[in-house]
Amino acid sequence: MKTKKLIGFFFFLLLTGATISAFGQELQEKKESEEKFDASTFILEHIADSHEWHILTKENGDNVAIYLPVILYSKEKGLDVFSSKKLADGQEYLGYKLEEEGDLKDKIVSVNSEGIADEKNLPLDLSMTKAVMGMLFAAIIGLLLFISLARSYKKTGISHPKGIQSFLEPVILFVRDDIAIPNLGLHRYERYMPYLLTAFFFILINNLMGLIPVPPFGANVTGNIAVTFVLATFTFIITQFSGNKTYWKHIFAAPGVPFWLLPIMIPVEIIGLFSKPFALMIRLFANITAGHIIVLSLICLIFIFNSLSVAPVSIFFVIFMDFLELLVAFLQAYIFTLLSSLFIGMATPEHH
Amino acid sequence: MEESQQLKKKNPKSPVNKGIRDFARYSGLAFQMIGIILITTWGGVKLDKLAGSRIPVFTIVLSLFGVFAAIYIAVKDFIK
Repeated sequence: MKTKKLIGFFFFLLLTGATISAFGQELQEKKESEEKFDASTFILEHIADSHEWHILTKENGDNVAIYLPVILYSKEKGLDVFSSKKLADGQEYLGYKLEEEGDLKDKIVSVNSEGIADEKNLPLDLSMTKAVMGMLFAAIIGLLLFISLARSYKKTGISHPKGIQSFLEPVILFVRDDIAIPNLGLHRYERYMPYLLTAFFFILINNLMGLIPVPPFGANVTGNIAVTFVLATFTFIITQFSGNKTYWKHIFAAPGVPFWLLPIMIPVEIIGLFSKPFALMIRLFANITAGHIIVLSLICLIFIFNSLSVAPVSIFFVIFMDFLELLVAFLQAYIFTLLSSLFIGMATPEHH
Repeated sequence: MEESQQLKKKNPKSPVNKGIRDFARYSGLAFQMIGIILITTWGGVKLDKLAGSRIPVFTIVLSLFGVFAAIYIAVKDFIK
């Protein structure tokens, strides 16, 4: 026990020592190399959604990327579908352009014959972006996993789990026994299991895929606020539709509140309805994005210092962070599902 | 039937479960409060722009209301 503690302490010292010296160097050299390598743009480009899946930039400046389909709709021009390669490097195609600067950076704008962008009438962009492709891959992986799982149950019946079963069965049982039943009760939990399991595995698969840096993985799906917004909206809608009489009574005529206070209390309660899924949305988005930013910053250290000797330290920390992110991937999937079931459970209180 | 008895035995309200649940619930309180105050204040600023009055009445009233609502909702969630 003592030796374990001692080893742990030394490990801790090693970590802190390395960070302090790394920060010291960073401050000195940051000024010099600021012009050479812009880390913040690099990082923000990596966590943002985009129309192409960038793989690498060659030494001569050419980009190797997977160009994803662009689907645009505008009232004047109708529907247009083409490859995003046509818009690469600031090219114009069919009167559309990918804006490279300003407020509309990375958005597709329509341009007139003189090449001036129309900033007021943006076309409706339904493109298959990186995040969309990431989600589709996650869906395919999820389907493959669970169809094979269902098949093996069909074949062998409920016996001792084998292969992929032995990994997925405990996780599914965990969602049921530790998330759904304690929050929703034994009588009602079954109705919400499909949603809870879908949300759990969708977030988990996407979180884990986000940690793998090569396409078709590595899209920052759960770190995209639009995706977490939709997930939180699902939870919100399910909560409202499963709310019973007691739930609505607590909102519009909270017991024990004098009637002259109701005009103030009702808006407060209604804000409360929306703020819970809002917190759900921000939490998942912030946690995953923060993880990606940390890993990318650590890798960027090598390029900021412009020296190979930083690489071992940087890589060591990246591996450490990746393990932490592995934990966060599971934890965030768990917390999202747990809170969803908690909110649904709170909307359907049993009579007391 | 056997299964449901087995599930009941598991005691869903064990202290460990409750601890994690409470942690998860309170971990969102800050975001929730920030969200409420931001939304109400933003609404106040927008309304003032619409009304075009010299004194930003809506901003003052709605931001204070937001702070009140945030505290009320946080305390209510905490007590539950």
